[in-house]
Amino acid sequence: MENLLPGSVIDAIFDFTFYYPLFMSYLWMCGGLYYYFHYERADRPFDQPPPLKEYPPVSILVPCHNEAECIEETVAALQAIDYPEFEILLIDDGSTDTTPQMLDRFTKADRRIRVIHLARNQGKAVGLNTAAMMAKHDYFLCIDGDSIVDPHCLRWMMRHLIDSPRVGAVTGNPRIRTRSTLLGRIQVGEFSSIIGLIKRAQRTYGKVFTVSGVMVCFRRAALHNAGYWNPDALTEDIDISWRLQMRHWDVRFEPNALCWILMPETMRGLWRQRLRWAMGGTQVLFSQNGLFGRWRHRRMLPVYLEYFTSVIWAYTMAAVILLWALGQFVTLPPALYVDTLIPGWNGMVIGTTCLLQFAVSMFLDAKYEKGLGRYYYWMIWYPLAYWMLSVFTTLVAIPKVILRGKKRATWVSPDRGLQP
Amino acid sequence: MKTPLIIERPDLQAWQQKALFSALTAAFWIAWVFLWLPLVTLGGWLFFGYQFRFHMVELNGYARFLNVLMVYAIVIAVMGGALMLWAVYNHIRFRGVDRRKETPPPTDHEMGDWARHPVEVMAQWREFSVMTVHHDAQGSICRVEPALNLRNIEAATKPTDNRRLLRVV
Repeated sequence: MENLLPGSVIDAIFDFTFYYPLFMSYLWMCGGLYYYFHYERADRPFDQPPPLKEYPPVSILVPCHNEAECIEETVAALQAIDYPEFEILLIDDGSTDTTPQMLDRFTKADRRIRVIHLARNQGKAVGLNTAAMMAKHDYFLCIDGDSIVDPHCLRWMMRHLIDSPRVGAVTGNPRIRTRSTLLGRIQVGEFSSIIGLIKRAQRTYGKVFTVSGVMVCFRRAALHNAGYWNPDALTEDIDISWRLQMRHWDVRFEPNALCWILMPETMRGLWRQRLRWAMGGTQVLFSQNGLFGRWRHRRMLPVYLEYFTSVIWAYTMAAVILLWALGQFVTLPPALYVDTLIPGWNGMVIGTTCLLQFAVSMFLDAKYEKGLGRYYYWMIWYPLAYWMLSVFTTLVAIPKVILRGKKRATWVSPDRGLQP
Repeated sequence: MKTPLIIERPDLQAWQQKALFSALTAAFWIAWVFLWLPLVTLGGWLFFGYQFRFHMVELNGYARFLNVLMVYAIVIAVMGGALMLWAVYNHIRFRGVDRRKETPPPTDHEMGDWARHPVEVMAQWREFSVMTVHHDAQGSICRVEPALNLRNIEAATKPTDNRRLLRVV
């Protein structure tokens, strides 16, 4: 009996480490397929958006920090948006390169463009809050300064905001531009098979963990109700998604609203980006833990618990790896001994599950990008490379968030991949 | 466009980077094949019956595998089924029903209260085409300075005459 309890607990931890990603994968697939057949399949092609009942004017908010290399094509894509009336607010957040001069030049050439120079670097959230006060219109499209939007995106996103007064935000479908290295290519698959699939599944459930901050449309009334963006949040997109949904605003995903983005292609750049994401998620775990016991927030509980469980999983996975490594050098008690990390037939099942998940997600995304299937070849490494990255960033994120306390988040220029 | 929409230029990598990724690639392939060890063993049995007997008979692998598959199928059916039932239930319950009333955009006064600036001043901000904004330590707007150019002066005096603005610019 003495040995039974610890052994059972350890077995349960091992089982959880193996079964959690396996069964969540099938849950994402079920949810993603339901979303596709219920909402997405009947949609027109992404370059033929449906006509809207009305076309309220939109303010496009573009926070920029040292974007001299990219901003020209970002602005050109925004100017080409197919929508009757919009203004573009370019927010120069204390840039130290030639961004400020470039922005001033844009405004002289196009009367729809306005420029807000922040006297000192303030961070993305403060930049967006400032622009929200300057914006003339009641709908905002927020775009990162290094991304390229599809000309039809605004019509797709606005259909949600116009059709339902409950909708506070609509997030788009980011697509990766940088595909030169192994890391870039894996991310092409990741954005389909993990991010796109999970967003669909979460919408099938009815709530999302986060919008993609790189492209998201807001209703001003919802933002005002939620108190706008939080300057202390490391990932302002996760934070605002939660605060909107906690106030019962609906947050939607629009896969037809495409946005082409630059992503890191070096280990260092990827680590820094994913650590920031993990820290942002952790901040939400701490800031929103009050939802337990509040009946009116019950629908957010599964989303919270799913993320919380994934954090626990990262720690148990690390513990299993550590025990396995220790077992190679020292004699451990039988209950703690991990003979292999690849558990026989179970390993085959999880390997097959991964490939199935990638296949399902690429099938779902195929209508938005031709030739996506060839990245399937590279996706085989996702579970090894990115699960491990996720494990280690999560491990590091929690102590970092605790030690960080309440502090303003400011810009760090990201790795934008290899560019000719 | 300055650069193509899809940037696929592996030739831009440093040789060290290419070597690292190639080595990783090879390692991952080997690791992946390792996942299918039972299946590989099954294939190997065609040539070496001992391994098959070991995995399938002595370790009772075949029965265990079927058992595991059955458990997986039940768990997946329960989890996936619950999610889909939930989605269908919500669809039936809320289809065409929007219980939330339309929330009007915040009024100028509400915006002014949030930004802690007079409504008239904020109305001016919205007419500036180029401006510099100063913030306090908490990130609140302290003051806004319009850029001193013709377009701003014009905008401040005739905010609705866009055609004329264009001519001035």
